[in-house]
Amino acid sequence: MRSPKLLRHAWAVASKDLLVEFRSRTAILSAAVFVVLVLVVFNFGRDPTAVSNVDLAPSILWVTFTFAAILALNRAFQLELENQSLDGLLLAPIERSSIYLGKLIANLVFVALFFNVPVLPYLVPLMALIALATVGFVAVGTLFSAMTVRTRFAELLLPVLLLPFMIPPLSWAVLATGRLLAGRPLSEIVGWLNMLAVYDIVFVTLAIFLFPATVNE
Amino acid sequence: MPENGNYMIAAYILVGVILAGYALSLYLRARRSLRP
Amino acid sequence: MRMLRVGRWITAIGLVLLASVYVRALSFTPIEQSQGLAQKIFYLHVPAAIWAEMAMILVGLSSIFYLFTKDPRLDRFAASSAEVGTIFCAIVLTTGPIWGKPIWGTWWTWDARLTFTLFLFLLYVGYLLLRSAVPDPAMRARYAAVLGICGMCEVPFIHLSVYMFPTLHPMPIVLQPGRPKLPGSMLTTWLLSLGVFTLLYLGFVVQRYALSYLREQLEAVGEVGHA
Repeated sequence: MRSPKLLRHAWAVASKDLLVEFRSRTAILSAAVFVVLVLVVFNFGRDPTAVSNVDLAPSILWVTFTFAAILALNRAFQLELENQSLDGLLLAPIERSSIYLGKLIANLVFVALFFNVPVLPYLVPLMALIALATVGFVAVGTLFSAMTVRTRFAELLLPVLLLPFMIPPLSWAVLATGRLLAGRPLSEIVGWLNMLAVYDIVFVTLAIFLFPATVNE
Repeated sequence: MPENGNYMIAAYILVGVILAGYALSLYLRARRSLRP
Repeated sequence: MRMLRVGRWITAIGLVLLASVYVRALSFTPIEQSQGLAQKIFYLHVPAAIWAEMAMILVGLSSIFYLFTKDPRLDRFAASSAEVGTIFCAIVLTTGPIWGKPIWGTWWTWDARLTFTLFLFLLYVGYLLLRSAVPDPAMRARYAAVLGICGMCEVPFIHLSVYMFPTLHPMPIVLQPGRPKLPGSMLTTWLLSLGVFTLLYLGFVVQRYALSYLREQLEAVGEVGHA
């Protein structure tokens, strides 16, 4: 099967993307600033006697996550288009699906770097939630950004298109995180983890099949 | 039994307006395309 | 143009029958004890909701076939179903709160079913926006197809949520496993309404399809904007 070649090429694309981003460091910087701002805003916005940190934590976490994901997605394809390297990639003898997978992996690593969650006891399930939600977001987001980047109002259109696709995984993730941080037993969270996993499998598969249609000349 | 007939009337009127309005919109748009 | 005429006739019949459903629902169907008159919104709300979702599924299916065959008729149909679906979805989103206010005491709550219906609406709006943002017809059709397929796949997740979250929204009483729990006269009214909405969906889609075709002709001659 052509899987090994697909993955190798995907990895090549991913490493290229990551390398470019680390060198420029702009996305990382703006995301870091955003995280700090969010933390400050939420901290000063609440009444410490009425609202505990634990109640707000899920919201903070996932707001930041969402924003970072959208930023990352926009940048990935924007860079490509600016440098016209997308054409270069298309000419190269690698499959379209590899490009998709490569960008997906790069975006995943990217988004995963923006977290600082001080909740060690819940770390494993939380990481699982974040990983699953990330895959869902980025799967759909990478696919859509490939389309919107060629349209008018590209930056406006991407979030609008993404919104309905982000809500199910996001709401499951936030609900699960809330339960998790409140100390509920793991068995309650499993249902949501399953939903997220199913969502991911469906949309990653779908996106891999649909990606060629977005870059066909 | 609760007294909420007004809501029912509002909803029924609204739906009628939306459906008739859309039908009208389709009619007018086609007419405009038929004699440019 | 014949298709246009057929569409207009179907729509006209649909609207007339809609009036008869109105009469039947308002005057000849028993009032539900606990909810009162407002419950009658149900006869419009639910059929509209069914077609709002069906329309999205049809957009998805025709999109899949479009990507395989590249037949422009499928793209025209997808665009039409999307527009009509948006209208029906708007009906659900407006009648829902109007029904909810007297029954639950609130216009809106971020409960699962309501939220996801809102997002079905956003799916539709996104689809229509994407179509309007791509000038090249072939690219537009392709991109719309991609979005349409994703949208269709999203619908089951939206549906599933009803059973996952505690909700104010009434559990399905007609479309549920087992026999519908609706008593005779009410069931008949509901079925009639469903029939009317089906007819209206058809009439609207046929007209919108014809309109698409007409606009394509104009576009080809260089006349105006967008199909």
